Amino acid sequence: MRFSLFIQDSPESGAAVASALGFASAAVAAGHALRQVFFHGDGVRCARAGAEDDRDLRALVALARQHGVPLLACSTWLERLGVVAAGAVQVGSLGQWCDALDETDRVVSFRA
Amino acid sequence: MKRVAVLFARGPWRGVDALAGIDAALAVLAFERDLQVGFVGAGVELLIGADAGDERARRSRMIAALAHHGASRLLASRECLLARGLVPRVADVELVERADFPAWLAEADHVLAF
Repeated sequence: MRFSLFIQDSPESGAAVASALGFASAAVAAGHALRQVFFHGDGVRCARAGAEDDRDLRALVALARQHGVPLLACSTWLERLGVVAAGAVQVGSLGQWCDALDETDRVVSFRA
Repeated sequence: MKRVAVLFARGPWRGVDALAGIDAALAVLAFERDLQVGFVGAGVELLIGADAGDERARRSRMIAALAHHGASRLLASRECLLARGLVPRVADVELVERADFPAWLAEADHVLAF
């Protein structure tokens, strides 16, 4: 099965990233694939410089890189919250997320 | 066409959640996917509107517009509205039993909760 992850909160505001990491690790270990990790709402704070100081986010980025999974932060929310993407998470759009829906069996969303 | 269910389960005072959900729902419609929208728990409070000029009123209008933009179904928990003594001001909302929500969610290809 192919999963996409939809992360709605930053590490500072709860366990969304930690939960996403746990799910992604288990899914990959079980032979499933990840199509995309999309950060939306407050989750786009994961794209700011220094966000990867958080251990869970760093591990999620490493896992995504290892499996060639794009990590995208919603451009609208980056602008709305005044966050500049400067880390491993790239600027993306809801259009890219919608495209991923067609190639994804299940979207799993995470929030605090 | 894949069906996307957007579920609002938190009230309008959770600043980011409602707006993020509306954004996602509008994107699903803009990219011509089948969208259905549910309201349960405190999420039903998004259906009652607010005073003009209030940020919540703007969100309520955006939610009301979802049906006009092509959402194939809007449904709200009757019990959750009754428990709060609320009557939805948004047209085109079906009132269903809370127990019907699991089956509704199971029929969707993708579910996003806000």
